[in-house]
Amino acid sequence: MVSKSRWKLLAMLALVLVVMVWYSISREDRYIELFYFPIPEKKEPCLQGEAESKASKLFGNYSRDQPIFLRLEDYFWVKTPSAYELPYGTKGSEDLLLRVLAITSSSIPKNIQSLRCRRCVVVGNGHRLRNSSLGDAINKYDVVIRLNNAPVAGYEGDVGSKTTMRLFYPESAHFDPKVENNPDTLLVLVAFKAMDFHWIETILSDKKRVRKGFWKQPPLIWDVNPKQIRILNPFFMEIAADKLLSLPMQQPRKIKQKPTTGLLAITLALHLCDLVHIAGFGYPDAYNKKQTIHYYEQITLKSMAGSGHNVSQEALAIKRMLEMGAIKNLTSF
Amino acid sequence: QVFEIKMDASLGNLFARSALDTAARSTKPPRYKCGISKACPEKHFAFKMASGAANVVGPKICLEDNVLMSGVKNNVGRGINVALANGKTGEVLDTKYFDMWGGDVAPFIEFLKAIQDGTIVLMGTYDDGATKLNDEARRLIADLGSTSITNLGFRDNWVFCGGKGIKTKSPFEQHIKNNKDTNKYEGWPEVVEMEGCIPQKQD
Repeated sequence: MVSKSRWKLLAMLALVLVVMVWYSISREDRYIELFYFPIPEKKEPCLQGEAESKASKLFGNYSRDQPIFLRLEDYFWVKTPSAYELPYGTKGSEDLLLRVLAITSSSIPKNIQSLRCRRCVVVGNGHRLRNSSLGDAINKYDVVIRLNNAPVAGYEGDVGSKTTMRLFYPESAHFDPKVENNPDTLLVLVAFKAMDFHWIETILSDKKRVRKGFWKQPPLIWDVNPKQIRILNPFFMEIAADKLLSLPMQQPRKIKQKPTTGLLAITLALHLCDLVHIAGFGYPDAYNKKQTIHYYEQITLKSMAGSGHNVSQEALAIKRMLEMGAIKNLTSF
Repeated sequence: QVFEIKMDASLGNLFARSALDTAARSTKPPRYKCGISKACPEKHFAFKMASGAANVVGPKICLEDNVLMSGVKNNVGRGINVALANGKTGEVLDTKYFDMWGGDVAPFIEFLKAIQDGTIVLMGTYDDGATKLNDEARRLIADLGSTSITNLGFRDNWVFCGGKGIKTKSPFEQHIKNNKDTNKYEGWPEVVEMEGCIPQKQD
């Protein structure tokens, strides 16, 4: 009789333990979900102006008035003073800039302009995209923004094949404009120095190429349609540096920190889109010296030293934006 | 039976016609104003211009699909050829050429000084546009946004589009030097051409 009661008691205890363990596991899953945003099977509702209201807390209300791309009409008959030199303004580079604006475009495509709600994803170059199988999800966004020479061909399963915009600068332009983009992709030049305008002018007008003034030789031959070229308003570099990273605009010559193209792309997206997701952001931990930083090449964090980017500071800025809900993440961070 | 046959025939015709239309429509290249290579954005004027070729073919200036100056119109001549247009409407205001080889620069200077603020100015050389130019004339053209006018030389080819009241150097300028080693014609360089979209002046 006593023996039977004891067994019953043990069985009840075991059951309680099982329930506790199960509950604990499910809680952990839920907790993890806070950082791993589920792949949208059904599209997340897109609230018009949502990114804007959150971005205004980060950047201030005035920043939506700036055009995304520089326009010739803002310089020809009127004076548009710029407080800063490149990469934060156009001061001192106007003559070169205008020759580029005269042969390129500045419009946002009608199919993007006409969207009631713009759903955007910024695809970083990070190693977390490898084997992520996010290709189909990425292709479903209205606007897909890519960075520098990050490849698409051969990686479609993980990073998708749609490219609405690609941000680049001369030294990062080592990609085939035709193969790694769509025919209507906007190739958005991020100018860090006046020579960057000079380079794109020589490419588009087929003039004698420039070779000095770059930390890495840009392409000498670049088969591109001038209609696809846009010049990013350096205002976005300014506010990314000032508001997200708290960098001084006038820096000592020795220290020249500036935002990465990735952080700049997020800043741009928050001013263009109503919903902003990111994928493939985040660098490996400092102690993990062998982890590659990109999904497509075998370079490690060591190569980032001396690049002019403070990756730790950028990681904090992105985390802050994730926490306040201005952006959401498709990969871990 | 007869009705059915008719319907088949008409359906066939419809299909054939739509197919042909599609083919015709898709193969026809789009034509933009003045024959430029891409459409201008809103509130911009399309222009295309070419300098003269040696002393044989005159320059040509087109604005908003309107040929302002050309040999066919018989209103071009040796020297610098000038067309003026309203910066807000694109309407032509005046066309003139000034002989900078055998003529006098004074009338050209008077003409330049009389240009109204907000006027689009298009210029192209024919034969020789430089010999009679003096510093004052060059400065007045530089004020319209030209960069190359300061070193425009004997029998160079040059096209330029700027404006009175322009707030910057104009990006619309092409200049080829007369150089006997590289000249395309005996004594003259090759033709220089330019096209683009001029922003409309806003109030």
